[in-house]
Amino acid sequence: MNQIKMNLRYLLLIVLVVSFFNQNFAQEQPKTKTREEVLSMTMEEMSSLPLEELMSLMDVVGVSSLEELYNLLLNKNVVSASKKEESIFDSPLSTTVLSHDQIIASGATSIEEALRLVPGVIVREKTNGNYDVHIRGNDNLPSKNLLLYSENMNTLVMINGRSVFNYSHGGTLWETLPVSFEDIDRIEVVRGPSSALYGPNAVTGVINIITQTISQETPLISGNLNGGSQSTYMGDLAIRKQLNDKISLGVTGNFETRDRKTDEIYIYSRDGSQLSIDGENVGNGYYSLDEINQMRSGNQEIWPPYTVGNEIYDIYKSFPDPERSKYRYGVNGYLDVNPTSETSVQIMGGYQNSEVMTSTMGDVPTPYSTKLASTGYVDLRAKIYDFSLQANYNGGTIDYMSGNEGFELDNEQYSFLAEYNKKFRNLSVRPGFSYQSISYDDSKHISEVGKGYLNQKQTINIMAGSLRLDYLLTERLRLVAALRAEKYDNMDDIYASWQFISTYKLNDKNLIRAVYSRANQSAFLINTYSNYTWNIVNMRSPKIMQFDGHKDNKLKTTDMVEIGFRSRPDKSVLIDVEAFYNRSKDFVGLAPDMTSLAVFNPLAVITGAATVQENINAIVNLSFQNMDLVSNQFGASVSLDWVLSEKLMATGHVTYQQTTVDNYVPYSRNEILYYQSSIAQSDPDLATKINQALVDYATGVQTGEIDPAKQTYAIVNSVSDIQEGTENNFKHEATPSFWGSLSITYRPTKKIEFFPQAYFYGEQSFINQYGVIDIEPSVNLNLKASYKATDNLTFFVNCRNLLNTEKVQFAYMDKIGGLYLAGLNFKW
Amino acid sequence: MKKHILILLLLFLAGTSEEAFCQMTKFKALFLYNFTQNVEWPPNTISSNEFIITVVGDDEMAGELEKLAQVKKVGSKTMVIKQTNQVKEINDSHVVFLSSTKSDLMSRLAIQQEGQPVLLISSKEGLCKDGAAICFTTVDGKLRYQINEDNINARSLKVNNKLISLGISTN
Repeated sequence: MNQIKMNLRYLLLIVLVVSFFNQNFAQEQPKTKTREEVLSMTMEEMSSLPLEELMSLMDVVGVSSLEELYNLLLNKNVVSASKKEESIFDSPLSTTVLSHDQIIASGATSIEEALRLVPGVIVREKTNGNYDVHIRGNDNLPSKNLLLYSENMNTLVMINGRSVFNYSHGGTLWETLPVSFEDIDRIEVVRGPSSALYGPNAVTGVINIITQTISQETPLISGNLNGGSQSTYMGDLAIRKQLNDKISLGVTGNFETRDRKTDEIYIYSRDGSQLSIDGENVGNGYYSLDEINQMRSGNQEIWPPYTVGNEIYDIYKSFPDPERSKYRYGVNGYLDVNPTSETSVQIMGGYQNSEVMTSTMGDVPTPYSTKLASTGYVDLRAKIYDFSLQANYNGGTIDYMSGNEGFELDNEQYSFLAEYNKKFRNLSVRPGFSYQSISYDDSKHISEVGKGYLNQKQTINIMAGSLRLDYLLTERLRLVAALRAEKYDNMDDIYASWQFISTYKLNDKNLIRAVYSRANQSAFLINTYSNYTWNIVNMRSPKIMQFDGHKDNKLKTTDMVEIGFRSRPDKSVLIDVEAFYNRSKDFVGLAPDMTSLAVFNPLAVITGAATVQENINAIVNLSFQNMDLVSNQFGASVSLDWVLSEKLMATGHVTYQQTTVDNYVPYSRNEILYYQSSIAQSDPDLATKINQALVDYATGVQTGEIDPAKQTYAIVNSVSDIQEGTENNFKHEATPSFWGSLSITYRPTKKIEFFPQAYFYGEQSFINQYGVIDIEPSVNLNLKASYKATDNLTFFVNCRNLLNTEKVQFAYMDKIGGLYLAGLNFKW
Repeated sequence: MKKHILILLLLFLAGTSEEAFCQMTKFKALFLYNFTQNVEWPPNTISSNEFIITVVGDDEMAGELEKLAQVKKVGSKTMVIKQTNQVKEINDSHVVFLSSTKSDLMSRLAIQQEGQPVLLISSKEGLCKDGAAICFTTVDGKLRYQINEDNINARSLKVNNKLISLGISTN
């Protein structure tokens, strides 16, 4: 850490010195006329000038800041909504674009935090720099289950159209994105089901991070550095050059390190047993690793160490840096080749390494886990006349829960997409074909087969065809239909997704739109191929949990109806209103199939060396299975962008939503297991069945049908019933009923800028299998103040959570305090 | 009361600069006029004594061009500025200027005017791919234009090298 700080100081010094010399030795171009003189010229005088002189005069006047602001904020282009460039005002879907300048001005310290500027996107910080990001919420379903289901498995995050989705468990590992602000040209967010355009997992929408095009205007060197409280340091550096009009090259790098305000982690008792340290009873709460190392749950060690190969897996292996919330770095290379105006090839490749402490994706006595990732990618995009092709590889190793055997996996993903865009008179036709092959393999990271949840390399292949029709029926009425059909290798079903859209321009200032769309998740490895036996050593009961997947699980599907209204009552104002209703079904969750009572060490019991009472325990079979759960969500977002003057801009958005679920099972996994276990234990014929099981076991051993070294138990009875009482119209409150953002950009002079922002949300109630966490409403105030010392150098101070509210934003996670940073942006 | 204070504060902070914004439209009109000096139309294809510029969806631009029309001619022809809000209403024109708010209609305009000797200019950047000959853009706070020679030549217009070299080619 000290080394990093030292290096940062040197880097800062170099930046300042170079910037000083650059500024002072820059040659001022002589100007023939002042701005006032140009403005005093008549139209007739100027119209007589040759074009080059006219351009020079315009350069003296300059494009007004107001004009630039209009373009920056109100007249952006978007590509992701239709896969073609169009004005955001004309976008047929609920769409937001965050430009590079907007993100930098906002003071957002990460891509996720920048998304707080986007209507409908709720962003909650888990630990310093690690966030939950959901489009329109509808999150943590199924609830009363694993924390895994709080991950956003419904939004497709892409970099230049390349999916960065985690197909192992579902979701996006934001820290593994290799790019940072200096790479980014803009972030486009499309809300609503978009699988028809982008494939599976674009269920609630897509977030497409689009990198900068290297042009003559691109600075050779650019970047930023900043650091401050909670040992937070981050920076970007980009070196890019357009060699000629056909070839451009670039290299970028970024790093980030952040600490928590504590090195303790939360512990809960998963089976209701009393927690104790050195014989003294303690409750759920935050403890140091040393305390947890001494802690017991009932008479079991809560975090017993075990050996994997030659290595000890213990609490310290699980949390190697409990005080650190995030550490990551990434490097990216760019090569753009444009042989002709009709052909282009863009190659991008990179690598990232990350370690974060955030919410767990498994089931351990704490809601925290350390995630380690080391991944790389190569992405090729080519455009040849009306054909566009994209092929990419993503691969590497991700340990989803450090120090827990079975959660470290190698992955390799190959994707190919070919599309053809043909324009007829008023009709655009875009047929496409895509193929994805996604493999995960845990076999190299487990001590023996059975210790991983896959125990081998497993693959999901997806082949799809798509067609998009975009028809401008009249100058005001536009009709769009997008259809996609995809085939998975393990399922007979072909999944169809679609978008049917119409937009109608009432006039140049007002546009209404209506959408009916459907999208689906993909199959996930864990849901499809799980085959994991957990021999539990730190819980009283059950003794064994067997987790299985199902190859024929239906994929979660969402249907949405949305109407929208976009208005530009004045050229300085853009208002967007969207109202939506969606219905989701075919959720997959982890649920008990069966609980069995078994006699463990049956040979010892048979020979009288042990008693039945001390060796009877439960074996549980669970699987990742479809649930009858249906969620219904309705809501609306309103956003406003308002350029009041060159000095002042205001932006704001607010979203309201309500979610109810039908067929809600109000029982956790453990409650169902206790229910099944109690039925099994109260079996009136239990004694007879125990004797029979022991006899059958002994017979099996004698005949050689049972290997006592492998099967160490004798099944007595099994129960698969679950409690009655599913609920309909259950109010699901994991997403706040409202949230939004208000921000102002104030530029009192051309060199000084202030960006205050308030991000707010209402109360929420998070339910998982170990409890209900009520999270109070919160307003986060942020402020960035910048001073543009030269055209090449800007200094800033940046306060995130200015009032240091120290509130939990996400269930079970850290209290988020103030983060106070100072830094600079530079370019040459 | 608080709301009023907030509005007053915003107005105080805001200042005003409508004048600066108008300069942009004025210069776009001047640029457009200058473009006509650097493009050659086939003789007498439309009108023998009028040079017709149609502005689609931009009253301010039409106003600035009207001012120019009062003091300048294109060659020996009188400039006539027409305004419309609908592409389908565009009649014979030498130049069509499409406002930013109508940018979605550029493809439609290009097809409707297919083969006609008309210079299609858009106020918004990036529309050469949809058939525009020239698109205004800003680069580092300076007004510039993108130009597509193929789209100009396809309409039997001749463009001189100066106009090409001063613009940002999209060919």
